[in-house]
Amino acid sequence: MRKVIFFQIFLLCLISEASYAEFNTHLTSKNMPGAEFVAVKTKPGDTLSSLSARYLNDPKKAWIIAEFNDIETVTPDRILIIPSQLNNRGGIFLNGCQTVPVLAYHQFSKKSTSRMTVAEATFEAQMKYLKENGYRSITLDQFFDFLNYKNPIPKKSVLITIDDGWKSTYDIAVPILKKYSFSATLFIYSDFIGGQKALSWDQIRQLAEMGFDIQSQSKTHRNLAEQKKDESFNDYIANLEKEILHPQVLIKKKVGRDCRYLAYPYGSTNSLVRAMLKKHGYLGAFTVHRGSNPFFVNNYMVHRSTIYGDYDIDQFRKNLSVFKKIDLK
Amino acid sequence: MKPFFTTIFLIWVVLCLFTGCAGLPTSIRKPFIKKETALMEQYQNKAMALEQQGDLQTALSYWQAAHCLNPKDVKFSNKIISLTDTIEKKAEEHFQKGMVYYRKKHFRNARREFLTTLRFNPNHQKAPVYLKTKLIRKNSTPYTVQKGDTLNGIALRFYKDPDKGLMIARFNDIHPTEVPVSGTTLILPILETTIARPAVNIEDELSQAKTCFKAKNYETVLTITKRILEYDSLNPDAAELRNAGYLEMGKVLFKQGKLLDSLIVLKNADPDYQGIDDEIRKVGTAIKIRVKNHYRKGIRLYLKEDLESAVKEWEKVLALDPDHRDAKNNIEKTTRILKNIETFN
Ligand SMILES: [Zn+2]
Repeated sequence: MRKVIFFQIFLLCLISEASYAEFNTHLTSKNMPGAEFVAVKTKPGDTLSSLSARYLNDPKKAWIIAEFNDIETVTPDRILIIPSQLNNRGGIFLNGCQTVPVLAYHQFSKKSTSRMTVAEATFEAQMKYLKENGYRSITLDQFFDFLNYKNPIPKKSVLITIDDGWKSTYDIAVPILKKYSFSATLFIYSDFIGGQKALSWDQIRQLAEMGFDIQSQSKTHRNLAEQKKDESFNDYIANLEKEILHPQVLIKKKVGRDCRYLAYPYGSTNSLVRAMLKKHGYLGAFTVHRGSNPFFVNNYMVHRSTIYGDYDIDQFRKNLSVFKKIDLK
Repeated sequence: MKPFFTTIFLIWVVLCLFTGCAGLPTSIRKPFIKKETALMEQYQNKAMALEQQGDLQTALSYWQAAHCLNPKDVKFSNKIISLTDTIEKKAEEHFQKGMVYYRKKHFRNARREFLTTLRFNPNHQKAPVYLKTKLIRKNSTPYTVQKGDTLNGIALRFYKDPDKGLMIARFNDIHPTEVPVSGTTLILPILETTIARPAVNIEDELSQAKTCFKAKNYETVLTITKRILEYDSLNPDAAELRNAGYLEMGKVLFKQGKLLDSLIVLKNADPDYQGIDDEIRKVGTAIKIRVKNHYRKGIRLYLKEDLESAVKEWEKVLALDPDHRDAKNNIEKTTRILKNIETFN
């Protein structure tokens, strides 16, 4: 008799699973405007990424499920609603707009010696702060998809950038970024690469393979918005073109990636520089104008906040605003 | 008994397989249904609250979620249809308001209205175009070439400078002497009033720093190079001068007997700058010797029972080496003795 009962329970389990699968399919609402929604009953072993891979065809969209259901992890045996997309791709609400902080780093060292150098322990504490407070580091593509009003990004998104191409990026920053599974964009100035304190092309290739974005900070790191004292206007334009073209060609040749973005040396720009960037296929550029970016920012004047070596965690935190208040009633 | 139950059970199993959930005892489906109903109500309440606040788009997404939990409920599908309609109407109203502001060149207000348009209807076609292109400062203007135009002629008209014809040629990939084909479009970059000149004139500043270095005015060398490096953090000449400044200043302080000051200055230089290492070691050794001398002198004075002078010597030790344990202990002990003597007297 006991055997029969067990068998019965076993069969019941099978049946309830099967009936739930059928039950799921007619939960999908079709032909509704905008996003489509699916209700899913979670099973043991389901994670945000596995559900995202299954229902949204991309494990990286896990945050959509997390944000819509207001959860951080998946617990089994509960019903989750999975929207095929989030319509609000500008992050626009009654009281304002989503903004994205872009952090700018330069050099790293074991112990900080100047404002432009961030100590290892400080950088580690900053990345830990981001992780523990729910920030997600996004890629350059994700960032510009947001700026171009194409795709939404997580509410607490942050873009991490590192300038110049110092060797300490590889030795100190990268292991910490990897530890917290963050990605970053490197803006290298091509004349610096291969020097004693700089990254080698081999290291840059490795970083590109690890998922880091490799972009440009000109050829010689000159101020692009300034015509030099002994430079004629026509020479200035010719030199400007070199500064903009050379790193693009070199990055393509040495790393095999397209260079489409630039960080202005010293953050300086003018309309001529921006027109030149556009002419050569650059899709956006970064200043060092402090502040976060709503999607409607000028793509060629993206704000960036330099993180100085002497910042404590409070000063760091002030650069992480993810919302701009505007009355949009 | 046994075969009877088994038969009943098997019949029931077959029934279940054919009829799906309906054949199951209601107690088994109940937990799911309960959860769904609760969730559905939760979404419905959320949606209604959001509607009241005026956040129609977010409300819509919760109505859709509720609908997806019970697609057969017409209440939800009707709600979705009517809300979508309202949203599109409201969005268009705000867009038209935005256009009025835009034409009046009230760009801030126009932007706010276009954003509100998207808040209602994120799929509005024109609002993103206005926000991302028309409300953003232009870097260039297109120009359609007229019959008889020359590059220099266009340059004269646009920039009040015929020489800018070269720039137009470069921007549009045409030869400077070529006559542009009429009807084609040229890109004319907008020039801001003047191209900025450097805020810090690096060459002038560098030569000034070099003069000061020759005059052994190291403090000024450090001030100037700091200014240059803040502006151009990678300037190799400034970095070299700054390191040399630290090294020489350290040497001067060493000669003046200001050992600690010398050490602090030397440690400001790049640790791998040539000569820094040796100099730091030299100062370090001198400090050690001086510490030893003061310490011994203290002992000698102590033995001569000049306790106050002994403490002074050990304090000198601590000034040079704050972690010197023996000096610390001796000071403690001796001060205690001195106090006792005082109370004794
Ligand atoms: Zn730089």
